[in-house]
Amino acid sequence: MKRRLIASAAAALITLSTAAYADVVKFGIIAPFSGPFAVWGKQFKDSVEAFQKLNGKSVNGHEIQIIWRDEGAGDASKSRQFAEELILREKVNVLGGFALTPDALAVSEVISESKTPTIILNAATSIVTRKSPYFLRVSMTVAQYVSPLGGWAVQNGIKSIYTMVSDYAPGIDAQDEFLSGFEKAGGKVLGKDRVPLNVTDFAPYMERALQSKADGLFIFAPAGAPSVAMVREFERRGLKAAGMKLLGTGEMQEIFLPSFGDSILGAISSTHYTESNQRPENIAFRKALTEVAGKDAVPDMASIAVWDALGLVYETVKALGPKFTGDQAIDFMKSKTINSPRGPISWDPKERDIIQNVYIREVKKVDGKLINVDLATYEKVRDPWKDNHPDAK
Amino acid sequence: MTNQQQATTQQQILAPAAMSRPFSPAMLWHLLPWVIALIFFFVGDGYHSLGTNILVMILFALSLDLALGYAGIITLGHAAFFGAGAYAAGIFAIHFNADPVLGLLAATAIAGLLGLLTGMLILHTRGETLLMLTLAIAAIFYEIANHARWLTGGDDGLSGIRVTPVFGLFRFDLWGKTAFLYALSVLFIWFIIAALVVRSPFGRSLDGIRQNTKRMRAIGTPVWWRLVAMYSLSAAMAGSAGALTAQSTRLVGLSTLELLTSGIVAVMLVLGGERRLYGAFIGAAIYVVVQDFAGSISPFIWMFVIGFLLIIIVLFFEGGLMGIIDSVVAKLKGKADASGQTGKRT
Repeated sequence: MKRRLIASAAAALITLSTAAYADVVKFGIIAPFSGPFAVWGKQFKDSVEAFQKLNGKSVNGHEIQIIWRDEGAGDASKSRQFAEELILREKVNVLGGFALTPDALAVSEVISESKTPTIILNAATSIVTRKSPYFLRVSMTVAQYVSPLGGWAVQNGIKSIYTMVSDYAPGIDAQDEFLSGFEKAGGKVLGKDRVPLNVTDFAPYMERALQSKADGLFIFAPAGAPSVAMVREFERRGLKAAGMKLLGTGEMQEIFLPSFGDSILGAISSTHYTESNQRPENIAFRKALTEVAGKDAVPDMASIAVWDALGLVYETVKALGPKFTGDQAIDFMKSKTINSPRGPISWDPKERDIIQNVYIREVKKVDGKLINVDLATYEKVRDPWKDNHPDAK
Repeated sequence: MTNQQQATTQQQILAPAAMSRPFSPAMLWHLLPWVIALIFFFVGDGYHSLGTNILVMILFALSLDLALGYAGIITLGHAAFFGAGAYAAGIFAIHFNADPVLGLLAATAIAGLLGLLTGMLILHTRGETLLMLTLAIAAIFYEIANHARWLTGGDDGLSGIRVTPVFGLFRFDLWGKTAFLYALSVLFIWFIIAALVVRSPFGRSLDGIRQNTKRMRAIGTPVWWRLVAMYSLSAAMAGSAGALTAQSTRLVGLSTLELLTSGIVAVMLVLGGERRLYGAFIGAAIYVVVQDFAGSISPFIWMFVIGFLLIIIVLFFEGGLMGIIDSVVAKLKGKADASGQTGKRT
């Protein structure tokens, strides 16, 4: 009898330990798969598939399972609802996603209470990571990737500027950040324009910019249809022919370049990821992506964010095993330095916001293809907004 | 409208159906949605937020039913009042008082007032002109919220909303149980108000206005004032729905004011069936649940499912899903009791 008890106890122990060994680690991602931002969801998904193809679907035998939720066109109440479902029903170990800032802010209360490490894959307003100690950002902030551009422009012969931004919070933040660097370096501002978000005809705005006779035009528009229309009008209205330099950020991502044709040559942009850079990590990344999503697949900010987020999750499971608390995971993640395809990335341990290189690039034609070529690299750029507002909550 | 129909309408104006109807076991069906909601409260752990979102959308769709269904006010801008209510509740909680009931009342009053003012402006018109004007008003509201960043947070959303316990007793717990019951109570109160209103002489007169405005004017009905009153009531109700979403999510985004939101709620109403109070219930519940479940199976297909459902219903079933249920019930009743009341519910 006693022996049997011991045997069954041993058997139970063995089953228990194998069960613990073959655990599933769940990573819930809330992202738009329908509506105007659906391209984000598609890029996320392709990149995740590519990552799992290259690195496998498990770490030390623990399966990494991705659970998707569609936040549609951006709706804070949906985002919060999905976060609760993912945490309570699906028992996710890590949460992530959020294309838009309100959707990230809406979950801050939930993740603080449940102590769920949450990786922000886009939402680029600086304040977000201060809203919960379990937020960690792998994307960027608007202020971060715009900040070096103003100073660079003045040093490179653009002495006067006209700005044209979409009339919403990120647009205005971008304009202010650009102008602060530009004016500090001694540049002259000849005009500031704001374009309502739903405008599709940029002709009158471009006409005003042309009249200003500035050396350069700084633009900021939501990446996608609006930014493409804005950039096209720049050429069509003869601003390029008049010798104006086009400066922007996400508008000149490689993924959009084919829709402009050669007129885009010479456009300057500043972002945290140059798609055609020759780092070995990036070559491997693009190779995996084309294997999964077709030979024309081009990565963008979304792809790189989720790629690095998965990298963090895999590293976490490797180091901490499949069971970890939110505090352990966040402490571990924010202390990492990762060799990302975009360059080395690390985190500010206090703010849990990303520190990364920002690249100033120019559109050039290489081997018959339009790509961005780095002109300057600003290393380890922090989010300047946080440094300027140390106490903002 | 045939003479006979008009005669019934007249009769009902004199003797509103709801108040004179004797009790019958069939009335127990009216308990069904509330019983389902209460059962859900006890078994739906992890889905209370989903439940609250459904209740909010039901209330919003119900408000649209009052304006669009009963009064025939063609509007594609109802999100204006939903969003106004949401922002009003949020701003009230941040700057004045975090009591949820006070916030809800304030938001309802403000949305109702905005409905009154804009209604007075635009309800002189009908048809496409009216449609355009409702769109324009929603666009104005959206731009105001987008620009007044100091007040609304603009594109980043209004955050920092705090909500104290309901009546000082029931704390808004993290998993949304309190929020669910709170939303359910608010919906119940509004449902009773809506049911009384549509069965009142006032509601009947709007039925008449929808069907033949000239004739109603000819018999001396103050058409414009009646429309404005109903529009304002509907706006107040939409404002309550907005306040509920603000208080349960503790964040208000510009999406509450978007054209898409107006469109979605119209889809819900058409799906469920207009001019049937329960149409809003079915339509909103199906829409949100399909979005949620189809969305979790494959986020890529839920819009297809909704679109397909909508096309089928609009093409083949006049009166939406409630219309189907009504005709099935009528058939069953006809078999069981040929002389039974088969009067169409309004």
